[in-house]
Amino acid sequence: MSGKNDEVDIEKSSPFIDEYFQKHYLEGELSSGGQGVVYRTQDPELLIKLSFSSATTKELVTDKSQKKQLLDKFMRIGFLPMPENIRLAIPVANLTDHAGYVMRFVTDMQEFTDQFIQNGKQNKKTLVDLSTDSDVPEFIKTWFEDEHKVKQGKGFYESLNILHYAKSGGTRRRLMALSECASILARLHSIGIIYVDLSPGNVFISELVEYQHVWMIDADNLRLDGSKGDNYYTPGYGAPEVVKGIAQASQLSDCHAFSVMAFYILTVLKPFNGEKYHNDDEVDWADQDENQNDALTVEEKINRGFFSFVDDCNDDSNRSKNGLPRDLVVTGELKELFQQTLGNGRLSPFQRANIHHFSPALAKAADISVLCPCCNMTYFIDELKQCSYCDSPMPLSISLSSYYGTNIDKPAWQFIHELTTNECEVPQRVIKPFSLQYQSSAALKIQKNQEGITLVAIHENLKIYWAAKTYDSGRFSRLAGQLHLSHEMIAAGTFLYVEDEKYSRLVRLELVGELS
Amino acid sequence: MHHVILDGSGSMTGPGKKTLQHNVARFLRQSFEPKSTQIWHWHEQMYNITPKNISEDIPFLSNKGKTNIECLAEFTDSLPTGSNVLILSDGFALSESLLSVKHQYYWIMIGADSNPSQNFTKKDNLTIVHPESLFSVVQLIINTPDTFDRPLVINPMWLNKVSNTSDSINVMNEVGEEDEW
Repeated sequence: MSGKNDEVDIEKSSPFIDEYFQKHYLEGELSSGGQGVVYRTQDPELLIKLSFSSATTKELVTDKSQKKQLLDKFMRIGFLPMPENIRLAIPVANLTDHAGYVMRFVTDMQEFTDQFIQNGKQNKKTLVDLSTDSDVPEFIKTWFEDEHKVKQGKGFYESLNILHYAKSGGTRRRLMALSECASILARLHSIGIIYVDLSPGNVFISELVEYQHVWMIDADNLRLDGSKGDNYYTPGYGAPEVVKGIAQASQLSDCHAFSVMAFYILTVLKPFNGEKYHNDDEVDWADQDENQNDALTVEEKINRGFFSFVDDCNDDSNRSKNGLPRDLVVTGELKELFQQTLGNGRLSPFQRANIHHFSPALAKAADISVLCPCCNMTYFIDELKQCSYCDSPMPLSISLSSYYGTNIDKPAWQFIHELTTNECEVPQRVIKPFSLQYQSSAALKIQKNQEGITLVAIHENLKIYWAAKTYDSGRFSRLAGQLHLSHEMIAAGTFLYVEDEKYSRLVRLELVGELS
Repeated sequence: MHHVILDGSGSMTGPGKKTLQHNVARFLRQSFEPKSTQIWHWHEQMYNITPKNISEDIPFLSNKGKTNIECLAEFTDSLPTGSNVLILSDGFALSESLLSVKHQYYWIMIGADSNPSQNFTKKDNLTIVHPESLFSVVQLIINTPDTFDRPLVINPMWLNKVSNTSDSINVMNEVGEEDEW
């Protein structure tokens, strides 16, 4: 699903009746794509999806046999062994008079496309207005002014693209949103279910930038991997083997689509839009395929996998200087996953990185990102000790390094978060094994105060012990309620021990960066 | 050494199971060092199906009929002590008789009809894994610590170990400095 479709002619005043005789009244359109259109209803927690008879005409299904076929398909989805509490809007009731279904959803969500992707269609007026806001980084203001002198309001402004990037939560929010999306996919894959048609139009995130809850819609293509079915894909996101019709949709094609989406959202560059894409006429395609590929458009060639990945380590034929500098938005681990999936795995599907690798890798990257109080961009901490965008010193931050058992050779997880606000939540993934379902649930709360910090354990069933070198000879005691730690205690050495039958963790607590 | 065993019994032909089993095996292959990972297809005998090089996929062998539990027990018994045995199965062909005290076993449940309580009671050397937990279990296998016993006091060694973050960042808030919050 992507984009909004104003052309679908639907009588919204008449109720839509489901198989349980419940009446639903349509409100505004939420999303639309090749297969159908999704509407909000008067009940803010229910959506209605109506199927199109064809992607080109975008007319609703009227043919009786096609309608029956689709309703049977929606019903079959209800029989799939879905993971519990999965954040995916699945059909809860078929409609009786239309090829469509009712699904449960959460309110105040917006699709990834609207939140994260500009698609080159910049709403310049809005963005120019935004560019005068006081919280806009100075470097973006200067960049915009320089660009405006040359472009005089015409064409694409890269500075406005970056402004949108910063305003929509920057790199850290994108990383976490993508990690949550990968978790939903990994949960489906864990029981052998594939999603089939992944694109930024099917993934939703909280409208408010302070939140990053992620939900997916459009579950009507779900099926068990290995079974036959329609191989829908959104152009640009379909795996080459599916687009060419030589393979069914699979977990591997889901991974391809996810990788394309993640790379695009993080770098603002489509992963195959490199030099070849821009100089398509000059390319000799004879070595790519024996067929007459000249008849294909450049987009079709990308969809069929003819262009190599822009950052491919083994093939520099389609490099690109566009997009955000990779080191600012992608960690080494993520670069490897993109190489495996979009580079090595472009035409060799089994080499694609498994979706289970993406979710923790994206969350790990988010957890070593800090928000710069000067320019509001988020950046990975590194030896430069300063913001990668405006060179401001790193703000005072809490750092937790957690280790397997008491083996401190290599951290299992690292978490760093600025203490520019009074409170910060430490997610469960930092001190417990990574869980696809609960990775973002808060485990600890850290409050800043005059003397240092206060640590609050959120779940009493978590067995957390603490010890400080300067207190009680460094003995470990059970953390109950609130724990006040002074700067001196933390600097001298403070540890937590999170006890678990098989997965205990030692956690070192530190304060790093500069006081503001 | 990690031994990844794909259950080749007929029940593994159930909807979605075969491809799920295959994908889990691919994930494990991507996660472990190739040199220390062997992949086996378990049927009436054990067949080594480890691809020779990285550009080859794990072969997709058909699952049918009954597997031989004794064959699997004999096989695991012959492995060097301390091996990690990861069995990708719906569990219908498994039983406690195959568990040897020499190794760590991981049963990765394949398919929605896997029922851990029907085959196994709690054992120290057996971990029953839902594929949702694959990542954390693999991390634990790779990074198994010497002990999980809760320490009584801070070990001075930990203090000498400088974390990556503090190594790279100036701690401006030194002990004894005036606090300006």
